Amino acid sequence: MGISFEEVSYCYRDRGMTPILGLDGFHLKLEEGRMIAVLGAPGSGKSTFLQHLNGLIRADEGVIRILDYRLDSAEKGKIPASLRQRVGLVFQYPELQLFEETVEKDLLFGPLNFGRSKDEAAEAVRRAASFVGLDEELLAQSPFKLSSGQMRKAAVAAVLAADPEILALDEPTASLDPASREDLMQRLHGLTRGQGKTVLIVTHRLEEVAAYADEFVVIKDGRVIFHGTARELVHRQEVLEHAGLMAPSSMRMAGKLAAQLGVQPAEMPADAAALADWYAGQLEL
Amino acid sequence: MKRKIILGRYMEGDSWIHRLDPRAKTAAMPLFMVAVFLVDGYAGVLALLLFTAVVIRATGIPYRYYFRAMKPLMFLLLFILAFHILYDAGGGKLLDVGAFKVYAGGLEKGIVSASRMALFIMLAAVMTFTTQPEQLAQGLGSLLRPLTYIGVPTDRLVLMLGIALRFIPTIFEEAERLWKAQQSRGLDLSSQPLKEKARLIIALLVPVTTGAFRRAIGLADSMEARGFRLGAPRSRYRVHVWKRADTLFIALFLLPVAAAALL
Repeated sequence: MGISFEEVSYCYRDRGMTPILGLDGFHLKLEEGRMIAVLGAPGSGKSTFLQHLNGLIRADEGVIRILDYRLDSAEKGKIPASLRQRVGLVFQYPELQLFEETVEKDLLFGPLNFGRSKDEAAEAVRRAASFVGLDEELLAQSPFKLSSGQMRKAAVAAVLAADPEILALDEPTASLDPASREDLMQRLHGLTRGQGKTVLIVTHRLEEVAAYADEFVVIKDGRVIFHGTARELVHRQEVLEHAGLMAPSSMRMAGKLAAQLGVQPAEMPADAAALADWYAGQLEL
Repeated sequence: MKRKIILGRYMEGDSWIHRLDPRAKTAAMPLFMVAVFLVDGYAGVLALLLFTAVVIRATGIPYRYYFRAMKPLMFLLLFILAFHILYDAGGGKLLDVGAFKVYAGGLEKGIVSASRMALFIMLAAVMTFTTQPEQLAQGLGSLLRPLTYIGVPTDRLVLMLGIALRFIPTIFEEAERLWKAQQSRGLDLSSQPLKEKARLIIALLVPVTTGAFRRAIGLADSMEARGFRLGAPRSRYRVHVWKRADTLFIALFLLPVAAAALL
């Protein structure tokens, strides 16, 4: 099943006189149960792609298959509610997602919409909140009193509470401090390993996802220009530059050191420590 | 949500109307209003519609955008029309079905009144489509400047107007984002009872409102941090130069007024 986009195109027609291209012949096949990093410069079509995943945006052309749904451009029928339950979207701005009087009510919003009973929903909310590391005391508070990091966690929990099979997050680490960033990435990684969920992370910072993602998708001008593993990406750093992104400094340095030593570059050193380990290993050989 | 509201937005373009001095465009509006109120009858309305069509043509923005600008106000237009048809008697009777009577006079009044409204909307659309909001505010400020002498705080008013115009599209964008986030969490208003529907819509407005306040406070701080003081003398980024085209534009709008007054 998984996710498959076949030659999907979409144009924003409501933003002024000239239509803006969102996706242009977007072609991508993803398997379930993996963590996928979607990289691209601002305006490359990352968020547009994300919103296609649960039918918030309907493609102008092409065929999208997600789980066992087929979203056809031709028939613009109603999106089944079950698709929105099975594909959860966390938006870029958590402060625009939370609206109820208390955090708990907000987290309940999704599960109740998808027809869970009150008890089931409350249980799902507790699990989701503890999963993202949101203090239970905060549940009774107004979402507008949360710090931006707590808001981010609440927004992720609000989507997780509906128990989606595919979780797609738009820039989830923005507005988080480095420690919380690490923490969130580890928890999300746990979703794929522990629970077999598919996690898509949209970002323009490769270094944050480098250590966790199984697959990398690079988007430029509404097209997929790279899809592969970390190892493949290391050998094709020019792809990142072409997409208007910066390769992480550890990755650039690994490339230079490898060239100097005349060996293959490291798989993808996530940080300076990993790079140092690899380099030490090379020197011992 | 945003899709529906197009009136009040700026549409990039390079027509001569786009390049006009905003003061000329601002001054043309009251002239046009006078003409609209002076006409009474099919012929006058038709003439003004033609006049507006020519102006719209000159903006280089397709007609369908102007119709879309009118769409949200369609109900109001229909209401005006129906009101006059149902309650205005006068002229020959056109239709008589039980309690329902339509008179030629009522029909004419209805059509004329609805067209007046439509004309206003179209011309307001011409202004906002072709003029950047801050330019519009600045133009209005120049026109209002004389009022400063009788104690009207025009610079304050213009600042308020400018900021309001600047943030309208942003707020709509935020509302759209919020709407999408809730939809993706399974929001389906059509399946809710009316009371719940009303509660949800109000609740959804809360983050947009708090966001707007937060933004306003942030903006005020950042303006102050950069040395802004109300009433302090400031230079302008874009200095308006009154050209012959501007005089001609005003003259163009005097035509319908003169015609309506004389006929």
